This record gives sequence, structure tokens and C-alpha cells, in this order.
Amino acid sequence: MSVMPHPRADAALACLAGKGGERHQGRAFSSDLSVDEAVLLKEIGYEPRGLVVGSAVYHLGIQYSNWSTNQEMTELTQAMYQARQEAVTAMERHAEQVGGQGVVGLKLEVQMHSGGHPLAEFVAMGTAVANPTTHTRGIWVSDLSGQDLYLLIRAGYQPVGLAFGACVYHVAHQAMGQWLGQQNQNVELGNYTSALYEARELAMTRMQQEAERARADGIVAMRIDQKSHMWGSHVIEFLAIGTSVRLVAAEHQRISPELTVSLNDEPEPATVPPTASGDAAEG
Amino acid sequence: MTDQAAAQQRQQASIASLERGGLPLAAQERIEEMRGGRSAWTSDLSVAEMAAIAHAGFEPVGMVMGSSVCRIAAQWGYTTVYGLGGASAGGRVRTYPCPHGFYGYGVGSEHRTGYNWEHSYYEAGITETRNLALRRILEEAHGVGAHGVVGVRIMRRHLEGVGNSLEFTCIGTAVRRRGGPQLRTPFMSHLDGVSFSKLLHGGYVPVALVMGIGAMEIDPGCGTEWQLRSWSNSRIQQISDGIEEARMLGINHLESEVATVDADGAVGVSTDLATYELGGESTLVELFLLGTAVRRYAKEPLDEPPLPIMRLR
Repeated sequence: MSVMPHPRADAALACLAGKGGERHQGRAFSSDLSVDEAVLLKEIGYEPRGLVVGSAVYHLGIQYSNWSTNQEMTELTQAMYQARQEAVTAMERHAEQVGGQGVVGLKLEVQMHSGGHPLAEFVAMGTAVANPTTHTRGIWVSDLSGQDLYLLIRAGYQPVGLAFGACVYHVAHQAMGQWLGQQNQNVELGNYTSALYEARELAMTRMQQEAERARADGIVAMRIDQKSHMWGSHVIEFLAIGTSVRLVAAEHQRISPELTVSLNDEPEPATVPPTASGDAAEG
Repeated sequence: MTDQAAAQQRQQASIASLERGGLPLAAQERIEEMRGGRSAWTSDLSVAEMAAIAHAGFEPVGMVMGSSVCRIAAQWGYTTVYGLGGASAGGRVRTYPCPHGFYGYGVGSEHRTGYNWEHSYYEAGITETRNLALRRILEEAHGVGAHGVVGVRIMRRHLEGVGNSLEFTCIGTAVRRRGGPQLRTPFMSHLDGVSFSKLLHGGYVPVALVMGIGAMEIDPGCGTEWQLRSWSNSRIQQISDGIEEARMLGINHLESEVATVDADGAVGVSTDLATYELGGESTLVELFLLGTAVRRYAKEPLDEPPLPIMRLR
């Protein structure tokens, strides 16, 4: 059996055998990038610098709220926001240490440990990247994937940073008489509807203000997470989060994608159908 | 000789072989058969992976495996009020003195110093178990004349609860390039066959499986405990530090393994954070990282730039 010529495979094996190869300059890095992400980021000049993390563990005490009013739990909002901010700041410090210019694929998670003490761990984790041919000040942070960043930068934009806003809200309980009176009717629960509106607006406005302070043009890939964490169904946190971007090219660069039609029987869906996220309040 | 006696003898021969640093008999025979080229090759590659590997110039040789079960040494800690126990292991330690100014604490007192300390014996035990398993899979790969192993799956199990015995097993498909130079150590990758092919076309070649482990025990001091009992929303410094330290240790250990195998970096790193209650208020926080170390052999990224497409279903 003859062997197919394959210069890439031969060069790779020669490099493993210790003969040649255009080796990477600088420190050894770790990254949670997938192969696709690593290869695409390399296309736009970014190389991984290392996996970076920051974490903050918070004790979340109880804030008393009036049983029958809709109101923001300002102390909890403050704690939830500040804890995330601290985790991200610690991660940025780490990114600076490894010589990064930005962080891609940020995962900002909250883990609640309700056993014993009401503890919440806020973790920020991503891969620090840098473009060795440019010098920038400060670190930009983005929760976009490597594929998304490739597309964004090819289109002439630059990520400015993470923008997020939080709001913890208490939804009023209904009075007993009112509840009994509605048992055999379909009615809108006005207090629920307006509370959810109010809380969502607050979180989004705060996020938007953050992007404006960073002098961004807009926010992409924004999402709203709605979670009750450990507080029961009447206290809900809304988190609005996205990556703020700025147009750095003279104008938007057209990418002109090739249109393809799959001839497979059941093509993969181009977009993921939206699903209810989080453990939104029930009943 | 009865069948039972023969089986027993065979098992003893296997154990003796393991002690000499070799492979058990069953594995030796399997390798021998594969090397002979008479048997059909085995692989757990999907059809797409198979095609991708061929596209990258390689072919499958057979499935290879390495496994080891070890006992992890116990490590006494700082928890005791009688004095410092685990300092000899040489791991990282951070202390949180009593903020209330009581120095003469002792048995039964609620004032005590808090400690965050690294379980370095535990870390070393897991690394050692892993080393044995990796050495065996590499020996098998070398034995069948492969250049590397792709799609390596790792199974890591605490058999009798954390801090006791640990099983570490890795299984993957050995691949080779016909006519390629024999490597002293075959490469290993936990990435699947398709990713292997993309990596190669992207100018990187996998070198080895690398691991990083950071294990920190958090023994809360009285300052931390008082804070936990309070009604206020506040940052718990000692626990924040402990978790961050475990993560940093894991990443540092991973990056030093990357440097040891003379690679440029690690990709596809998975992170796995586990916490174990150790009794009392103490907690062990463990971060386990696993990735494929890669070396860059070509500067220019792809043979052809990627083509943007829009799918119309």
C-alpha cells in the first residue's frame, strides 16, 4: 500500500521527533478554548496566554421585605453585583499577570451552597489572549466564544468589555381573600406582571449605563438570566449581561458569506430554539 | 494442573509483571497479536473521525489502555487544636489569626486560628496514579508501533471515598502514519479524531495529556465562623482565598506539566471543581484540570482561510 503524501503530517511528526518546527515564543499556556476557537483566534492574530480565574465567596444574609409589596431588595442587589464585580476584577488581575490583552469565553457562574450557611461562590473564568503585534492598555473581557469574536473582529468591531446589571426583586404575595376570589377565573396576576417588568427594566438599564460609561457603541449577545437561587419563589434575581463593542474600522466590514443548502436529510438547526432559562418563579 | 490453579498462577505472573514495571499478561498478549498484524484493528472512532484522521495522513492501529489503582496517603492537617500537623508536607499555607485578640485559646475555646492549606500528599498521590496509567497506555501504543493515541478518555474514581484508593484509567485509539519516523514517546490527546485533524491543519501537533490538580483544605477560624453566623451580606475572605488558591494551584501545575513535556500550551482544558466535607467545619476544595498539550510546528495557521457560510437549511 502506497502512502499518500502529506507534508503537514510529516512536518508535525518531525517536530515531535525533535527536528524543527516554528515553535511558539513565550511562556507555556493553558486554555479552555476548543480547537476551532484556538485556530480561528490565531487567524485574527490572537494567541492564548493562559486560563485565568477569579472568585469571590459571599455570605448572603437575609433582607426582610414586606410580604405584600413589590420592591427591590437593594442590599441583595448590591451584594450580587459587587461579588460578580470582584470575581471579574480578580480574573483581570490574573490576566494581566500572564500578559493578556483580553479574556474570551468568560464563564461567570454562581454556585449556591445552602447547606448550613447561605454561601454563594461567584466564579469568573476564561482564556486570556493577546495579539503580540499590538500594544493596548487595560484588559477587555468578553463572554463571546472564539468563533463569535472572529466574526466580530472581521466585521470591524472591537470588544470593549463586559456589561452587566443585576436586580434582586421581591414579588408581592396576594392577599388570601383575593386569592380565594380568583379561584374559578382566568385573570392576569397584575402584581407578578408588573414586578417582572420593573425588575427586568432595572437590570437592563444598569447594564446599558455600564456600557455607556465604557464609551461602547452597543452590546452584543446580551441575555437575561432569571433565578431565585436560594430565596424561594417570590425573590428573583434578574441578571442582564452581554459584551459591549465599539466599531473601530471606518465602517462595518461586509463578510459576504457563501450561501449553502444542506442536502442531508435532517440538517442541524441553524439556531438553537429559545428555552426557558433559569428557575423562574412559579405560582 | 487445575483451571483454578492455572488462573491463579497467571494472575500472580501479571502482578509480578506490574511490579517490574511491565504490563499484565492479558495486555501483553493483546499487543503481541496487534503487532503481528494478523488481527483486525479495533477503534472507537466514529466514521467522521476515521475520515478526518485519514485526511490528516494517519490510520488507526487499535485501541490501547492504561490503568492503575493506588492508595492515596493520609495527610494530617492543621485542624487539631494541639498544634500544627501537616506543615511537613511543604504545601501552601495561609493563616487567619483570631480577630478578637484572644491568643490563649485551647481545647473547647471558640477562638482559634483558621488555616487554608494545600494537600500536597493527596495531589502527589493522584499525579503518581496518573503517571502509572499513562506509562502503561504509552507502552501499549509504543508496542503496537503507533505514533500517537487520539480520543483518550479518562476515568477517575475514588473507590472508597475521597482520600483513600483511586482508580485512574485511560483508553484511546492508537494511530500511525505509515513510513513516519518512530517516536520515543507517542503523542496523546483527549481530543476526538476530527479535532485532531483540525489541530494538525491549524499548525499544532498534540504532545501529551497534561493534568493539573489543586487541593486546598479550608479550616475556618473563629473570624470566619462569626462572619458565617452573621446576618449581613459580606465577602468571606478565607473561603474566597481557599477556592482561588485551589484554582491557581491547578492552573500552575497544569502549566508546569506543559513545560515539562516541552509543549507550547494546552488546549481543550476541562475544569472540574469538587468540594468534599471533611468533618467539623473543614472542607477540601479540589480543582482538576485536564487538557492536551500542543506544540506549534507551523506558523501559518491554515492551509486555506476558513470560508464563511450561511446555512439555508
